[in-house]
Amino acid sequence: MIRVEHLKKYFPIKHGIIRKKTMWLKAVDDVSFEIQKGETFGLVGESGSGKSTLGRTILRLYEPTSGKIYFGDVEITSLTKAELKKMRPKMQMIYQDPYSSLNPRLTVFDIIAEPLKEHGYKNPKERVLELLEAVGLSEEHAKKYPDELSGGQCQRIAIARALALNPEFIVLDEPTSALDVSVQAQVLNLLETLQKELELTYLFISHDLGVVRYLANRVGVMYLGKLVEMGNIDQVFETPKHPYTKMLLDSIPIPDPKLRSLRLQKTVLRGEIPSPLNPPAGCRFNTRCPYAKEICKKEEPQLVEVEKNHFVMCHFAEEM
Amino acid sequence: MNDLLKIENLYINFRTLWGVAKVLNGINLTIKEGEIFGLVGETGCGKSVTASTILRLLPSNAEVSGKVLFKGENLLEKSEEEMRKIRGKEISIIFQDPMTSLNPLFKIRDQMVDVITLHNNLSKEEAEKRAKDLLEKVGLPDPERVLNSYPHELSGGMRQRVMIAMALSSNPSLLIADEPTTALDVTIQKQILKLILELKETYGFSVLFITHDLGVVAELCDRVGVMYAGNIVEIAPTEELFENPLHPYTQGLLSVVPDPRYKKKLKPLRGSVPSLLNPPTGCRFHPRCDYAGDLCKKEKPELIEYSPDHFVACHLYGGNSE
Repeated sequence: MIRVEHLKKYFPIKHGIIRKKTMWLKAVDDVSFEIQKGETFGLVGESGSGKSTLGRTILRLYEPTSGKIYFGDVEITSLTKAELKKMRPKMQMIYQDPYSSLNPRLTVFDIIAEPLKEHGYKNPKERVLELLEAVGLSEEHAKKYPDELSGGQCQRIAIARALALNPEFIVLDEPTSALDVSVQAQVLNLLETLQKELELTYLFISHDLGVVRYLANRVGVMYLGKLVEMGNIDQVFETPKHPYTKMLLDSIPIPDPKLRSLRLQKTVLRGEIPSPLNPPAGCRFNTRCPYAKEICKKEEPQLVEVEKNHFVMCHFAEEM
Repeated sequence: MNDLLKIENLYINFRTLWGVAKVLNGINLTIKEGEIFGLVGETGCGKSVTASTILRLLPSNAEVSGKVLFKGENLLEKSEEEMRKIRGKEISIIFQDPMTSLNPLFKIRDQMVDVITLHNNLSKEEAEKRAKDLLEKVGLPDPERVLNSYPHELSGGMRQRVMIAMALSSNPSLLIADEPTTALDVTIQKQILKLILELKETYGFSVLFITHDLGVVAELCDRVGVMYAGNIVEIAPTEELFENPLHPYTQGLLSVVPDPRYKKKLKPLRGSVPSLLNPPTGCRFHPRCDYAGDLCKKEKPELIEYSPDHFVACHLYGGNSE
């Protein structure tokens, strides 16, 4: 369904007195992966790891620096604006903050009808009501403005709008991070139901590994612009091979107080994520890795398949 | 263990343009010496207002009744002058976003020396030495560099460590931590939680830890209070609460927390949190509760000790006052 090959996205950072020197912020640096039809691919990592940039670049909301993106058989990096616009209905995006992604001066009806009108629907009323019902809202919500609705309801509106043109692929960028847990569960269940009914493919970006475990079939772990581990959700969560994935999993609070004393003894990941403007040489994780050896500082590891469909970017993946 | 802080029948109303918001509806809780007490609940349940009340930092449109007893004295009856000697000295607070709690225009050195000399009779040099000492204790290996930095030059995790160092500068007996790790990445969160735990062991203060994250509660807290729409609905030792939750809201909350260890079926609560301008009568949870009966709509359940150390406010457990 989606195939990404050697995708790079560099942002120029101008500095110096006359802004002549340019540094490159390598937000996404040579990433390749595929998403199968009907599956949810989870993308996890800390802030600054490049996961949101990757999501937006795949939809060409950012122009890629290099690399190829296939949507089905179509290679979308070479499409012109007009060709891309024809593809747009098939691929949609849902953002973290539902309040800032909905126009406060439009009613719910107009928000959902907008993409329909843009793509040639003459009388969108029936379709809007159908969409509202699909996301668990009713006709009475159609006349309201976003500020009259709760965060969970706004996120449902954003989902309805994304579904309006029958997309096949949706990028979800932290869609439940701004919501309370009880509302988050409602939205997660809704996303799961819609996926089954409409055969949707999701790229689900989140820093919350519990939520990713709930929704994703496969998962990729990002660190400083690189995909350092990728595999089926159970493989990666139960037998993580990259030291970063291991430590990330050890850092998440587990809602079970009985494990506390056991978990406190585990090593805490030292230091913080380095600046992507100046990433460490060799393996980018070597500055924080407890297993780092000489080779890690010099040579960049390749993504290797350690077991079927389980890829790891580490010199010592086999020993982990 | 002795009681350090005791909140009795605390009611808070905010007068607003749209009416009176009843944000705390008669809460009772006790924090013992040397314990970490977690206060957990969703947005708008009143956890941060509780913290502001303890420090008497409420806005002027607040109406307060009840008692906040700290070491036996009612903080609500203290003069502003007396409160100033308690705030930052006896009771310190750290917030979610350390960037907004530090002054962006001054170096960490000036801000720390200010705080230290305010509550301790020290010269500038002695205060600086103390500041360096504290920064080392909170795990900042190069204190001189940190002292010479402006807040924006530090990362979120480092800023939170500086805030903790400042909060501990006069050996408080109570540290209020209001979502201190919510803005941080999980790996940094773990570092900060571990730090709070170690410092608590060293200095012996109590912690009121406010959070919406039940995972963090499970990792850190000795006892937990669960809040819903301005009420404390349940208080229990952490393990007891997770193993044997009594209140239907607590049960619901525990069933919607995703678990990274396996794909857990989530059973969402229906509806959403009510408006506090016009909260439901009786038990404020009754419109969302599967067990609600007539009594729940009429009468507010009192917090009772259902089993030793396990308190619950629910009519299912005989919570009516008769």
